[in-house]
Amino acid sequence: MSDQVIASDKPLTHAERRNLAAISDIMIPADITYGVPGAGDELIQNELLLILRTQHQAIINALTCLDELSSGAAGSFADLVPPERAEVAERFRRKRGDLAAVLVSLTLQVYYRDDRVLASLDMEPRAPYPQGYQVESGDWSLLDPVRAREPFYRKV
Amino acid sequence: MAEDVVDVLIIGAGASAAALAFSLAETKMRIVCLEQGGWMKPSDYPSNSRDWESRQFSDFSISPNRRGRVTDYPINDDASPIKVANFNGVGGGTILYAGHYPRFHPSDFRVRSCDGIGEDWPIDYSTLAPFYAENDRMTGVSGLAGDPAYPPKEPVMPPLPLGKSGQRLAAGFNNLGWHWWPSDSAIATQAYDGRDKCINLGACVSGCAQGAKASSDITYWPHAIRAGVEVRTHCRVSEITVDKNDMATGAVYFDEHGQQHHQRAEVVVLACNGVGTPRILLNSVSSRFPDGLANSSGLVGKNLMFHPYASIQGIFDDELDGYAGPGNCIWSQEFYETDEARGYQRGFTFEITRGRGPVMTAFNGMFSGRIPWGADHHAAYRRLFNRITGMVGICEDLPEEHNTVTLDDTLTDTHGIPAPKITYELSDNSRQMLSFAVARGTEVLKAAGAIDVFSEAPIRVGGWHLMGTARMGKDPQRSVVNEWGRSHDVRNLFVCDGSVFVTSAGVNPTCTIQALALYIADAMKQRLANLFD
Repeated sequence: MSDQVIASDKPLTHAERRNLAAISDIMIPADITYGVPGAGDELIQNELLLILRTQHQAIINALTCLDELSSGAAGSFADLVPPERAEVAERFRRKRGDLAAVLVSLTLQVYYRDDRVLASLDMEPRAPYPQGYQVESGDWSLLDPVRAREPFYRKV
Repeated sequence: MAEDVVDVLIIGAGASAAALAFSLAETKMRIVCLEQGGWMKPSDYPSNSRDWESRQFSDFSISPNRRGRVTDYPINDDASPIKVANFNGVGGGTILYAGHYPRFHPSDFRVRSCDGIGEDWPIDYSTLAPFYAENDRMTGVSGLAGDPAYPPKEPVMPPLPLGKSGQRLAAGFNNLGWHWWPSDSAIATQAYDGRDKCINLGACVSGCAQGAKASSDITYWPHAIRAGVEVRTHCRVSEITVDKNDMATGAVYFDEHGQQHHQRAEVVVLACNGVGTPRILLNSVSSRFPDGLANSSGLVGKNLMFHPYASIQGIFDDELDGYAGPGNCIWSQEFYETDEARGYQRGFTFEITRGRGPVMTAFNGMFSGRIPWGADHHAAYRRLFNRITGMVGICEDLPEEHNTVTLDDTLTDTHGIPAPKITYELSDNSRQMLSFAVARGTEVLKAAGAIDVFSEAPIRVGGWHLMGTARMGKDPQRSVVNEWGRSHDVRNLFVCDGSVFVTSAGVNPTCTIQALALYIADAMKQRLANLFD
């Protein structure tokens, strides 16, 4: 993880960014089968840091909570060995579901617009506009039985 | 400008204001509209960029409290299970609406006569019918004639595509013998009045970059402005002023620099929606009107109606429309009218919501427990992606005086104007109706082949429709404005937004709000010589 300046009013510290990447990877790990990165991937994390400004305090609280839950072990959450990280993450979700929900919300917003992830879903990595999409008109004969109904709105 | 007197001062530039201004413009009166927001640029809409779903959680959120634009005002809706959704800018709520555009039914204007509850409107369907038709033309409504759930009407262009999702659910409705029909939509399926046709961006509810969705900034307003109406943006009204004869003299507002002005006017029209309008009336306190302006009935801010919504979504084995296409598709009014055997009065419309994008799919999956954290995340996600479709049940809400908009004791906007406070309880009738809607929605989804169904009722963030807080009627003791929108108490003050609704019907209100605004404008034009008598 680089120490580049983050475009946020209140950037996270290096340690906080390591913890954020670690919990993101537990939430959505990389998968070779689908050819997708984990949510702790650097490009995805950089996007995440750009949008967390509005929920900055909740993120800080979440990362602080993770460190507190890790304090009996080696130190910071990111420094734990994987089984310990997974166990702390589970306790975090049970104890602070509200903070976990904020993390999930922000992570999903950036993960599911990543080029590599969209490509794995056979989605073009582009904005909807201006090309738009195709939607089939459909089989309008489905409407035939409804057309056959008498008007049934209530007369007044 | 401070001593300038205009003929008509319209407060708010949303759906109703646009229609009213357009209609009044032919009189050549001097008409000025004050709008607290600005003009939207299609190039700013989220569908221009890769983060189009993410921005629905920030600057294009439907919640003013979450959106927090400088053009927004805060709303204390802590005491409501349904949170307010709106947008402040030219076009108002139509900037973010889905474009569902159903009319009311004849029975919706006769709720007390039909069912012994609620109230009757002072007007009926036939009164509004010509204005519905004019509004359909101005808006450019797509749909299909022949719906047996309605009196005859003629949409101006062909319906939106069924797509895979619509066909799936249509088959489900057919399997049960239930009504369905292509939705009347304020979305152009052909080039229309300078707007281009829908290209299935799938992001209608965060603004249409294509301009196919009929937000009123691109339908009525260009016509009204060409006819001479002036729109002043970033002007937030705090109160309406009156003279010793109980006539409105204009409005006090703050411009974009925070400077306070008084705009004088011969006629004042409120068009700020069912929350913004009572807010201004209640804030317009004087010795003559100590309980707020136009409030001799005590009903300003009371009888707030939302539409409680049920969301019922199904997961299917095969690929559906997913992120492509407008949310609007087909609807069902099988359960629209009262059937007391169902355990509640009145009814609802099912509106099929087509699909969702990759982020919202993940949201639905993770927050419903269908997509886990960890190694199984990806496989579970792929069982949902492009495989969800379903519907909302939009339930008629009944007027109850304890559901209110008042002024918050401490919360204010950036100009120090008291913010609105919402106090709202879901009625037993609504609860019963929501439960019934979830059960029937589940039934039709399974009949369509869904392998799993999930629901939410009421939709917590779904307070899109704000109605009833300055209702119309012939009795000044039981209503705020008369049968053509004029205040009973202040004879040159009008209200033309959803506040005047007497009941809410079980359909989206925008089509009726705009038809009512055209009707009120027409009533004003018919009475210009004796408007204040």
